Amino acid sequence: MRRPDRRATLRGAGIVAVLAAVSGGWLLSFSAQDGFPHETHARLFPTCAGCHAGIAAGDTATFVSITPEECAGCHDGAELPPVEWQGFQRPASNLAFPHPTHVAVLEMDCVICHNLPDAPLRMAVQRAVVGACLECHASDAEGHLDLAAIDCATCHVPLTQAAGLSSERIAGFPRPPNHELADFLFTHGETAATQGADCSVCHARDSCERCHLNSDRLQPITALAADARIAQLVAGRPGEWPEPDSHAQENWVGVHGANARAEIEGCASCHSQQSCATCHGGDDRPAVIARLPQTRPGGPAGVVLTGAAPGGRPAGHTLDFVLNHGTAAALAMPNCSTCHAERQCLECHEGAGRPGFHPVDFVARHSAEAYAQEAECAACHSREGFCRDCHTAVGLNVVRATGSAYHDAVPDWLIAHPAAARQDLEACTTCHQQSSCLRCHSAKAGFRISPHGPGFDPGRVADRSTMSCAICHFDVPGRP
Amino acid sequence: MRAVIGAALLLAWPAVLAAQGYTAEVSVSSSWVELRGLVRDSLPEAAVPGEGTVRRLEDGTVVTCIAGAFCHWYPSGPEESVSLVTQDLRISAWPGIRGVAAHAHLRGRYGSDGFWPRSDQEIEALYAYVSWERSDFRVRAGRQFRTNGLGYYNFDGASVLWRGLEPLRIDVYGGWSLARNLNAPRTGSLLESADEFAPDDRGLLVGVDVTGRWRNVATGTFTYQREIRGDELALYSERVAGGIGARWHQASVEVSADYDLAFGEINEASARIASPLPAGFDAGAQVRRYQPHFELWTIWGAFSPVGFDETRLWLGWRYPRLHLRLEGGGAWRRYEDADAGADFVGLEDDGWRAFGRARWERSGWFADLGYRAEEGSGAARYGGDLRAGRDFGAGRWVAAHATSSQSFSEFRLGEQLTAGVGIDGAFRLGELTLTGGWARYGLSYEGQPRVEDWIQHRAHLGVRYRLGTEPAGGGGAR
Repeated sequence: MRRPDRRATLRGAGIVAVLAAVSGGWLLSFSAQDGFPHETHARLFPTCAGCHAGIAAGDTATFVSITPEECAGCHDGAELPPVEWQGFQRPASNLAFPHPTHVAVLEMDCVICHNLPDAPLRMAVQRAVVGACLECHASDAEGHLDLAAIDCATCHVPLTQAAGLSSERIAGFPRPPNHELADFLFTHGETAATQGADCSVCHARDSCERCHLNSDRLQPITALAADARIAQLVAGRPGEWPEPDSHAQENWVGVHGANARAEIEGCASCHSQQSCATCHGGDDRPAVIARLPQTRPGGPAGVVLTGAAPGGRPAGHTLDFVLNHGTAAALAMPNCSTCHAERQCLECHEGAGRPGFHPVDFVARHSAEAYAQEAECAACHSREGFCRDCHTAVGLNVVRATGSAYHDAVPDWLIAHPAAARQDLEACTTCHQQSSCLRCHSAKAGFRISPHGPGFDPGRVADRSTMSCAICHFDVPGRP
Repeated sequence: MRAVIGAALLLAWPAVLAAQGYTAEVSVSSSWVELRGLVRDSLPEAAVPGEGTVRRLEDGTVVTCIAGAFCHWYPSGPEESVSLVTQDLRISAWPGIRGVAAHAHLRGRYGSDGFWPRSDQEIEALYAYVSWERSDFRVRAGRQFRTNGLGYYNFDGASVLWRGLEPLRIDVYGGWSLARNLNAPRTGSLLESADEFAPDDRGLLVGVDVTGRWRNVATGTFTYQREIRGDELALYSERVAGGIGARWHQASVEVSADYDLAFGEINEASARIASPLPAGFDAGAQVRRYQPHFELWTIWGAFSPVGFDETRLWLGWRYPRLHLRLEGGGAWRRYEDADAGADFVGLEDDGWRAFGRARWERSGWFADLGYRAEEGSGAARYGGDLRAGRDFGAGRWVAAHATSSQSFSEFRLGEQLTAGVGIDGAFRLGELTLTGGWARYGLSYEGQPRVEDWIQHRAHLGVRYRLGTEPAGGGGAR
């Protein structure tokens, strides 16, 4: 066999020592795991192939070719104590080490990988450590898990092919340092696209499906096989969908649509159609939303938006936009139906319907807002059928009451009320029926005080309708 | 020949059929509130010392006296509990004919003692219409509603929307009008019980909405709407509204107005500009004129109500790193000269408001803190609210809130102080959603000796269930 360079061997031994410690027993020594005292038998077995006949040929059945019966030839219980070894059982592994290539083709001696560093004795051996592999296959690597310098698939088979590994063993796989980087979740897709085979050493399709809503549309994921052990390990673990920096940028709401149209798969990993429905609940949802995946039973939920983020509102949608959205809604600018279904208007405009439009306890303190008419009350409430109904019920309005006891803050209310009424006539009508005023302001009876202001144009009104004129000026059969 | 026709029909059948489906939502909600209204009390005028119209009782209560008759005042009434149960059924169905859909929303209200507004309106249809929609047009027939520059209206009739001239849309509609926000004819019991002069004939509504759009930059809209009595003897209202808006790089300008053709008056006009600013700020300004609109079946419009002009400014700031949004602003309004009453009375003829609000949201947690001061003709209020909670997504959330406010009336003595706390939340399990809440408010009064302080409790509970699925494509052709 070809002997390796001595300096390289020494350097390799140093690397082995360090990596053995770092890897935390990734590969254990023969003596520790197998219990076979190779050194004790050094004088008995002149060559490795005497007991490991199948190594050079890659015959895994005869990796250990000696049998229990052959051991019992010496360990017969009389001359030497018997041993309980039942024969070679190949340990479960995801290694893809081709012994024939290394031994028969490259003519590497067994001791290059298996001798203990600086061991004085022949057969002072150990299970090969990962450093020995890296010495040739990734000499620039800073460790076994330096994924920038290492191709995992060189030495490992895909996890799905390592059927003998238990879920516990898989769960104990070390986590590469780059997986801990803050931006790993944002960059791992590029790595997976070019180095998918490396990912497959530790991951199965189930690993990706924990988070990716569009797992069936991403080639690096579909290239992976499913694995029941991984499915078991990730079951019940929620996905992770960290917020990209782009989403916090100024005006993200304004530009996210264009981004989605340009590269929908960039959104589809985290967002489902249901995500968009949080805001885009309208009848004219952008078509691009239909290109997002749907959530599926048992699959990841994806990003669940809980409402518009602060500042994540369209321009002009201030926090109290609900109070003065009328003009924008009438103009449909921007297109309201992109986000709002037509029926949503009814949730508030129907009147005594949905709670939540007004702040809490609004009913006890609404008078100032009602006078100010920042939001037109009549847009949702019937003055007669809602406001007056309630005001009457709580005693604010006594039908046909005489005097002005309720307005006790203004001593000369009869003198003051004309100006108050002209300014706040809507407020008056929330308690008073027309008949309340007609007792004085009718041309037919009472004090016959004209309520018309200086700019009132009776001809204009009469040309269009004499209905209201008739109430004060004419006798109409069947009317009071 | 029949076989050929049959084969042709079979071939054509898939082209005219669309997916069938329906969605429905059934909800029941109940509210329970403790109330304490006012009652009218009196003493013989001779039993109240003093002279004149306004006098004081021994405890300081101000009473209003009519010579030779009685002195009146409004003390607290008894505490009462009132409740309302509302049942809603909302359903949309697609029968499988391309573009055809039916939509309905029915509501039933059952209140205690008729106390709750409109609780005597046992069943109503908010909308119930059949729609046929294709790429160029949409036809609707039945009870439907409309939101345009004149506000929100509903009616029983038909509407035709023509989109063949995109980006111009013309929507013509007409039918029997309904009393605004009552979902019932004007001749119904709701108006009759509320006003002696309620209309004695239904109304016929006709109108047209025209909307145009230039790219995604500008829109314009025009609405004409006329409402006449069913016997065509008189007009209920005749109004027009219009507006234009433009948007450029998140800055927007909107100008709109609506005009009452019967009285020749602008009811509401507004110009508003809003724009983002550097460093996370955004700002806006609005000038607005408001004058109430009254339909011609009432005498109110003939009382020459005056309007006010208002200027409003606001500034917002967003700090994404802290997931925080701050807003503040104010408005000032001034009324037109009322040309009525006596100047020496000194009623308010202007008003102002100031507001500030902070909202924080992160990972489902949220907090909303606001303060608002409002003063002006009629009433004043100062107060703040805090609401905080957690939104777990998928329709599940819980929140607690606290509030405190101080209210005054210009025309009534005394002030009301309110402080309260409450919780509310929602829990969704599949298609079933439960909502509930409870609140406790302490109400106290100053300047009104016979209006007693008291504690008010409120609670609400609701359940909502959704069933059915929309056909692929979201329902109906577009």
